[in-house]
Amino acid sequence: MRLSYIVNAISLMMMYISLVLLLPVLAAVITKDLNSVMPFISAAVLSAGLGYLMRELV
Amino acid sequence: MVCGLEFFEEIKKSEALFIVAVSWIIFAIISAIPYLFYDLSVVDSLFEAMSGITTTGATILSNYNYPPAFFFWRSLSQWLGGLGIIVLFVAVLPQFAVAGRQMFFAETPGPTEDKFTPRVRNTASILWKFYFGLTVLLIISLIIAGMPVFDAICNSISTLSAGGFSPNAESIMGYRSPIQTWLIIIFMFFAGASFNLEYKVFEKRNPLLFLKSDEFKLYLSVVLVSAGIISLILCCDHTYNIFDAIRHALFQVISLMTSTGSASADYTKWSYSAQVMLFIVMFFGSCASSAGGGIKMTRWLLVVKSMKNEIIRILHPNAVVSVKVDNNVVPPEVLRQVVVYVFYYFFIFAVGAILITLIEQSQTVGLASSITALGNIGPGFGVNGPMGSFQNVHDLSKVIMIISMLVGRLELIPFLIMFQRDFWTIKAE
Repeated sequence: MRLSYIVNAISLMMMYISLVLLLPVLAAVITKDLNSVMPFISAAVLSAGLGYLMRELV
Repeated sequence: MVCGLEFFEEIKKSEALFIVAVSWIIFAIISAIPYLFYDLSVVDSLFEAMSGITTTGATILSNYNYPPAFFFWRSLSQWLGGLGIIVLFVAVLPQFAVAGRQMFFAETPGPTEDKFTPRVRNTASILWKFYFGLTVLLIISLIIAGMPVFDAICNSISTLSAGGFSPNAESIMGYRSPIQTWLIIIFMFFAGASFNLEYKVFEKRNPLLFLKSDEFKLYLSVVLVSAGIISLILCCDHTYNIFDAIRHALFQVISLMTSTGSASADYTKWSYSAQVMLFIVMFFGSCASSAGGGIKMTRWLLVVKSMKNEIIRILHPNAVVSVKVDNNVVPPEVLRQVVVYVFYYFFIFAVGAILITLIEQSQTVGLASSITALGNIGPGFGVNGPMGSFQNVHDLSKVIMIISMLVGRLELIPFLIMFQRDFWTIKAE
């Protein structure tokens, strides 16, 4: 089991999952419910940030 | 830093299985983050997130006073999980195209490797396009049938993914529309059938191909026979008239069998015999290469044919008998794997049922929660039925259900293989 391989694949996925999390943000903007933007933006930033960090550390 | 196509070329099967398992756990954790902002506890958020991505559809929500983005994310997470997050990455990311085969089949470990193009990336891409097309078709159909646009989007993406989350607290029953119910019955049925087979039918413009598939014929037969029996029960005990009985029986049988979990009626108020039939139906599952969960019809087909052959061997010890599906002989090692899979499935179901029964002090909650989580079905019986929720279940039971949902979605293999010592060594292939 090679950790670097696994971390690399997972970090890549995490960065792309963050993009998917922007779709509910779009739904919130369309429905003019701006209070709902923060939960999804936070999750997206966290996912992308962690993914980037993991990729850099391996 | 390890990156680029050359890295993925070298990926081993054990690593692919591990990546798939960990990816689903991480996807669940990330999916749970938005729920924390809506005052759900950590366990509840994880439960809702895992239920979403594994297309289970069991909920802890006891009220539905949440904004549209919240409901959209619940449904979207099911849609993404429906065909598999890895299948999506294989389809859209060039890096995953190279190692796609290992991870594609690690995530969708059906009894046979069913693909219709030589390149796995093309297969994944076609599957997602077809899945997207069917979803759009259902959205348009539901809007024409009078469902509000937002609800039509959420219900469609939940239906095609065999998920079952709805923005309506009463699920499909809440819309009080027989036309919308029939539309969802049709699309639920096709969400539970093999997308590969459906694509072949669509590509060759030949619906008769459905009837050449042994798995599809069994799937159709089980749906019709089960719905027929339940319709009779509902008619005889005067729950509904004949037309409503057929509609609700078909809806609930397909919903629970394909692991969608939507409801056109509160079946927990039906007679005991009708509920027992629905409980049995939960063990069948959908077809292989579908969005649905459960044991899968192909496996039942192989198990039943193997049992029949064993009886023949007892009568005629020297007879050479083989198991055939769609006129192809199934190799003995595949049969062995299928029988072992079904055994493990029932073993994990039993362990989950015993643990939840002990925690909740209720056999109904224990049995129903275990199968509904492992089969990725969603609603249970009693207070955990389609109009109820799992809010009042103990946190420990919720954790057992979260694990069961993941194990059921990954079809046991990536989970069970991690208990092998060899798996963690460099020697593992």
